[in-house]
Amino acid sequence: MAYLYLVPQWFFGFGIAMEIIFGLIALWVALYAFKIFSFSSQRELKLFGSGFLLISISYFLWAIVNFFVLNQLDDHSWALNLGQITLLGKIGVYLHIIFYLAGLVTLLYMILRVKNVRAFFLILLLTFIAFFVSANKAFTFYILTIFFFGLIFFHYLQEYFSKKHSPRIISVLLAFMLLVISHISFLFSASSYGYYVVGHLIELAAYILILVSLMFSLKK
Amino acid sequence: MNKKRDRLQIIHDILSVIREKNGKIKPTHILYKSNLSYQMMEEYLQELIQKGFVVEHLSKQGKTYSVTERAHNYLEHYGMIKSFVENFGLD
Repeated sequence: MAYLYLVPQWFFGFGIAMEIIFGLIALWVALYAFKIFSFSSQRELKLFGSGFLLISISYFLWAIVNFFVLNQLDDHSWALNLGQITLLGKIGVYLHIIFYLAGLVTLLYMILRVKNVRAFFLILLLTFIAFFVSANKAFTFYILTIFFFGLIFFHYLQEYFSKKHSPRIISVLLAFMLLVISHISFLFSASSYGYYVVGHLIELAAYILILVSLMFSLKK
Repeated sequence: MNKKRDRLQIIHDILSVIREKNGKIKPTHILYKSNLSYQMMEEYLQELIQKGFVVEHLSKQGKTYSVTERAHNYLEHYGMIKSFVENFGLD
């Protein structure tokens, strides 16, 4: 039976704490984006806030899943195996994945600057079809997240080099680059738990950079 | 104004100029003060009316414009909006 990921025993609590931190930072960014949207009515802010809100909910669900659903594999490691968990556990795992992918599709829709809600639902539908028909769901989930984070990173790279933008977005640019790397690491977390730890640490660095950007916004 | 203005700045300029002469400003005056082409100004004004920042008044003298409470909020929080949008590359 294929595992979604392996978790070293010593990292069990740290991992959950980090997932809650990611969720809190994403939630803070989302709420602040909605606050700014209420003043400006800029469509991008509503989409940016919605994307981060969905990702935030996904992180909280991930923390809950890891707290209640992980199975002990041996003396040193825990594992998430969809074949060995209850129906409620499966619902939790799928909801975590659905919210995460929906958040990323929302961010992608924002950067594409397409003003057609049918295009959004088409991308979302294709993403879910790709995930649900896949035989190896963990692999497909991480491939999709790497692809979406990669596109968002590429967008910020273009923005950075365009004359329109100041170097102020470098923090967000690096954050999305780290998110791509962290999800590449998660891609291998079903074979070795070291990748799960490395993925979390890189993701923590990414969210610290996002927090830095938010702090700079709050200062002015 | 040497530097190309972004969307937020243009909206800020239009709302500021309308607020200065609240309720009595004509499109030609906005055009002159906002430094936009007629077509661009029309597009921005329509968007601002649609979003509830500006109200259009029709009279025998022609069209005039005034700002709403939302526009006052926008101008008041402009620094905050600009900072967030620039830091997260959303403009």
